[in-house]
Amino acid sequence: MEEALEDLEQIVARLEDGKLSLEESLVLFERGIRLVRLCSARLESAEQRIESLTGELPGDL
Amino acid sequence: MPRTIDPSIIPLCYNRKPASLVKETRQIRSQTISIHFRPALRDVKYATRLKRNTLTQIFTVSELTERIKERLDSDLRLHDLWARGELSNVVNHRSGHRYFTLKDKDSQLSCALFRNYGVRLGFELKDGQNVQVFGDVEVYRPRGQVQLVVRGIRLDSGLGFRHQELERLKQKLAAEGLFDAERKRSLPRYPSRIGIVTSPDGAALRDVLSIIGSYPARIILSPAQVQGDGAPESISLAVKSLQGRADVVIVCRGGGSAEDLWGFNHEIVARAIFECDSPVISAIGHETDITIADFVADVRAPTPTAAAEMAVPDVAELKSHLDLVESRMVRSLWSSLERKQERLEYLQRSLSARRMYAQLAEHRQRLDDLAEHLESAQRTRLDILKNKLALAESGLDSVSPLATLSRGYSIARSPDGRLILSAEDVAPGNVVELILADGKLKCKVLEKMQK
Repeated sequence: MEEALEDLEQIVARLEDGKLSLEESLVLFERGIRLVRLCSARLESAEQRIESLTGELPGDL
Repeated sequence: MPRTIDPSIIPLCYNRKPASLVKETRQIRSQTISIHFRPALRDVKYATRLKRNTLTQIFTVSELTERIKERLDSDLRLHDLWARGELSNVVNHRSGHRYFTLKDKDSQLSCALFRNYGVRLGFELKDGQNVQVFGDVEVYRPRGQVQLVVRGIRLDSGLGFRHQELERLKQKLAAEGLFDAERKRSLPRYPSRIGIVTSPDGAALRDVLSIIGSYPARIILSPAQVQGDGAPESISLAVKSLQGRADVVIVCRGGGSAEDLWGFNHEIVARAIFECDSPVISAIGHETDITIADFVADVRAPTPTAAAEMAVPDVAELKSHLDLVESRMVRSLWSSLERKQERLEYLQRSLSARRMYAQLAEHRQRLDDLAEHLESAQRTRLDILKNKLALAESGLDSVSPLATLSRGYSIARSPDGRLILSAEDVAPGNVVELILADGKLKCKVLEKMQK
């Protein structure tokens, strides 16, 4: 998540800079959108995964 | 008044430790019997006589506590006494009564301060205060508890011994740099593994989990005993167990008395937090409770809930951030496309036939202009030359002999055109030609006169 979001920020910055060739910006755009979808999907399907180092969790968690 | 041993208490002791009592008895017998010891010895004998009865007598709990109570009540030294110690577990009950524990390094005793004595107190009771209390030792029969019923309290000098120790530890760790602001690590913005050190049964854990809510991270619970004996060891072990397993660690427990939170003031807990390889957020007790663990932690949260809020980003915010990022990307791609298209169109326009003709016409006109310029320049130059020529002509006139003739002179020439410069050149009878300004005269020489 952290890496994906950092990547995204860089991609947006490079796209907004506008110094890229059309091919480069299309490639970056595609990668960016894929990352957005990935992060959104992770947030949508977020299930908390709780593990206990002792293997014992209270029943109601 | 000589000391007496209440016979009723002896069988109890005797049953428990007969050997030691026998020994004591023997010792007492071997001593010089003083007036103080005589009644005591008598009591011991009486006690041994009672042994048989004790074995057969079975107390009810009430009888037993009653007996303890009588025993305590009869000891005058347990009444109207002053005792000193440190306050802890202070509870201000709604009823106006106050309950607390008085303790020193090795022991503790429950105390009660009833409302009618408490109103005149003049200061607030706080955990850790060193006090002197005045009152009586009593048995609270419903719980079989020996307690000090306090009728007066005064502050003793200084902090309690535990607080003094705490201050010493704080200074030591501060000197070692464990609390230094420079070593505080910043929290990861999007942790994927969150370690939690707390009691698995506590409300704190539930608070934390409910806040972390739908944020997609792995939560690694490292259970710890957060109060009581063994808590420091348990907490530090739980922190160490998370080594290499978490991006951020939350060490928390819910509110409690200073006593309950004391485990977090221990040096080994501080060191475990200090050595933890990921940033640690501490949230121990309520906002006003600050433990050594809080000082060492990279970030201190006022409550477990707040700790969880610090550990993870808000999911709704994150979603809207992603939406924003997406629209920014789309917008910048579009604007880049538009820019390229505009440029293309511009170039296309430059290449059009009309533009080419226009350019040609422009060139032609420029050529005409240049030709005209050339011509006029040439003309100017010719005029200048002409002027110069006229000037030169007039200069020539001024030196010509013709001008002299107009002033009355004449030129004499022989008929063959030679200039006559001397009278010797002619003889009388010769014909000469005189040139005047406006014509010529043919003349005959009549006479020659020498000068």
